[in-house]
Amino acid sequence: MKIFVLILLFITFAYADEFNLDNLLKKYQDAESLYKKTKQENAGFLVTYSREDLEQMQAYKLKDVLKTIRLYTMQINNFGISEIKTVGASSKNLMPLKLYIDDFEITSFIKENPLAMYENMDIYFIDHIEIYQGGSSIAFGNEVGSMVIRLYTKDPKKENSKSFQISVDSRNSVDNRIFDAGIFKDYKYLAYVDISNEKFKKYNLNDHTLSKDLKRYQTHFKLSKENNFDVEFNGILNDGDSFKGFGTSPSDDNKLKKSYTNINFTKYFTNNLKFSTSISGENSKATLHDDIGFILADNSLAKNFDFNIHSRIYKISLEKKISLKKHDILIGTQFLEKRLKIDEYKIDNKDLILNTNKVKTYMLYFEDMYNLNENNLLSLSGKVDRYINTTIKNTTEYSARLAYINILNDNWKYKVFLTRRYIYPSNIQNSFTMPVYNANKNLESAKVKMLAGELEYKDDKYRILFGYAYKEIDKAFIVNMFKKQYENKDGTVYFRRAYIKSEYNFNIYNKIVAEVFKGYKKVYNSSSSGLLIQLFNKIGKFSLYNELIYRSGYSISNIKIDAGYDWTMSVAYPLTKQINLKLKGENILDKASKSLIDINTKFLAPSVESKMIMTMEYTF
Amino acid sequence: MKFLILILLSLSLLLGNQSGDKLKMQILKNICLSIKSENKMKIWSDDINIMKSFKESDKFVTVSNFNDANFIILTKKIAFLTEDTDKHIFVLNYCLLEYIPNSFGALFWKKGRPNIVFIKSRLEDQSLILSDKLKPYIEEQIW
Repeated sequence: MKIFVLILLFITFAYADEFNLDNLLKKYQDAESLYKKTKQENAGFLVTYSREDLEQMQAYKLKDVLKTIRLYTMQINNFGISEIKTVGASSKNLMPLKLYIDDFEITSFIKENPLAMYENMDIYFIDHIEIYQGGSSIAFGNEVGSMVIRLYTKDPKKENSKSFQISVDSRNSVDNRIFDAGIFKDYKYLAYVDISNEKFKKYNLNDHTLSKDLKRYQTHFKLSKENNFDVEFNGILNDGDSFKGFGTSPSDDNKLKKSYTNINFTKYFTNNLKFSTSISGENSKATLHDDIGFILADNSLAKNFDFNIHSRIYKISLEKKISLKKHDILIGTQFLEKRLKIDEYKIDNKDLILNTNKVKTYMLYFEDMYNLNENNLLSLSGKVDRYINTTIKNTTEYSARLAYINILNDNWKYKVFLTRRYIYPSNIQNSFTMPVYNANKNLESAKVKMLAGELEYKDDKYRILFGYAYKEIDKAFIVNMFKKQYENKDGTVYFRRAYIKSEYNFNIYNKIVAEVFKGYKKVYNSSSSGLLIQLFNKIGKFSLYNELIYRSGYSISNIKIDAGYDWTMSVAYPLTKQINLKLKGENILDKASKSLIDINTKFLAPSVESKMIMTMEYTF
Repeated sequence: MKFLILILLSLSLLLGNQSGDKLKMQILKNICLSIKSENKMKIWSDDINIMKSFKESDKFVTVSNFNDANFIILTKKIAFLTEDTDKHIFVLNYCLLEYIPNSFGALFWKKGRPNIVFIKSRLEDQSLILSDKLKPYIEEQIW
């Protein structure tokens, strides 16, 4: 017995740090992490940013996460808005990306790109982020996208607090956030408001100042009763300068105002039936003047462009889950209607008459997850979408997906996805375009076929992933610069992509993540390869985070764009139980990847600016 | 002997990932084993899972009747609890520390993290002595 106790004592001291209550609490926190309950392994190649990760990264904006996503490069466009492009893709490439806040998809009809509105969103109310790649699940409903980004709000049951967070940065930006979440009787509530005044570096082009300063107002409210209902309201308003705009000599007082609001209601019935409905409103308004003028689609020159455009999006969906012995079946249907309303659209003070598009989509989808045995999962899903479009011909499109997950043993597992989907032409390609492009009413859906696989090794300390994808697109969308319109490309476009990700956990507080990727295609119009290194550390009460993002250089029309190195470092220190102090340096080397904003003047600007951010969080 | 039990409890944590519920029970059991009171602990809880988990271990004495217990683990306010009760009350919701004047400590979620807190004056009033490992969680007052 004495020897036994001695052995136990030896082991205990050898692992001394594993035994204190703080470590036990940390393990409890990790085990109860919300992402462990929401993630869907069969829905794609999953990249998860847990709450702990986001806090340690000091990820204040969605784009702080977007810039790290493998196989993508973050760029800014001529309006100063951050976009993400797949490896090697052109800046004209419209990314069919899907963005969700909880179960609600942010659907944009004016820009057809949710990031146009939400790339700069504050994520203080978000618990964790899941990113699905590799032909994501059809069971998410809505129109199928190439990548799905799901943001999950904080769980009021685990919040029980009110807090205030203020950030100021080295360019004199100020960002104020107020958050309250908790439980009231049987109801869970969450309320969040963010008001920010953001300043960025000013550039000079043709003796004109380019600015993308903006004021942002953002809010999110949620009321829910477990297994009964959810009501959510989300709103964002970006009111700021329009950067370069369409021309090269923009007036200093050019403004761009964008807003998006939505309210959605979900009712959960006892028999695994879920009913959802939502209404979204979107507005984009600008007053743009350019001293030299910008070239329109008909090659004429215009100096003034004023527009005020609204859209409304209505959704109703019904889903039913059926659990049989070895099958988990999901059947769903959704109706989606997108309407556009133009209040003002003037070129040089002349009103233009435009097509105002309305698209109705009726969707029917199913997914059968068949558990062959405890180590093998086969998932088959299919979706039929009927489009009724007032501008282009009505069509019926379909998507299908086969997923297979095999757990080889305690350490090894692999996933294989075979996907057939389509990319429906967007509103701004086929009906309502900005004046520098022509609409192409004959544009057809692009057809995508994809085979993707991921092999994973995992033990207590290590996690290594190897992923590969082969994709071919028929009738891909390309820009015809002579006709100034999007067209379907003849023939098939091929892509291959591969990545390796490794994680090493030194202990429960310290880990390193290293990831490298490469895309293979004929022509590269953006970075073809990249690297991400993340180092998460805790030293005493200090939380430290280091991040290095590399994106390879490339050339466009003989303009060389250098490789980018973005080093970010964050430090946080809890001064008291109430006060948390944080310091973050973004793009510290000022060598982050740049985007080509204007081909004639060879004007380049980085998507991530070099700056320091100081933050104070107070919890009541 | 308590020390040995603590080691055994802690060792089980090395055996891979555990569910949240199991870890919660581990924490509660750690806490109970680290509190020294005048009388032998007779545990009762309004949570069936906690009762079940404590019953499974022969290191604890559980009672099925609230009145027979001297150590209570509460998840919510219960109607038959009087303000002048002499029972030691540990709560699983921070608000209960305010609602129940006799409650001496809590395990609760705040800002997405589990927390432990013990109120110094209440520990002293109830003559409860905490082991060294619990002392860092002692607070002067409810915050």
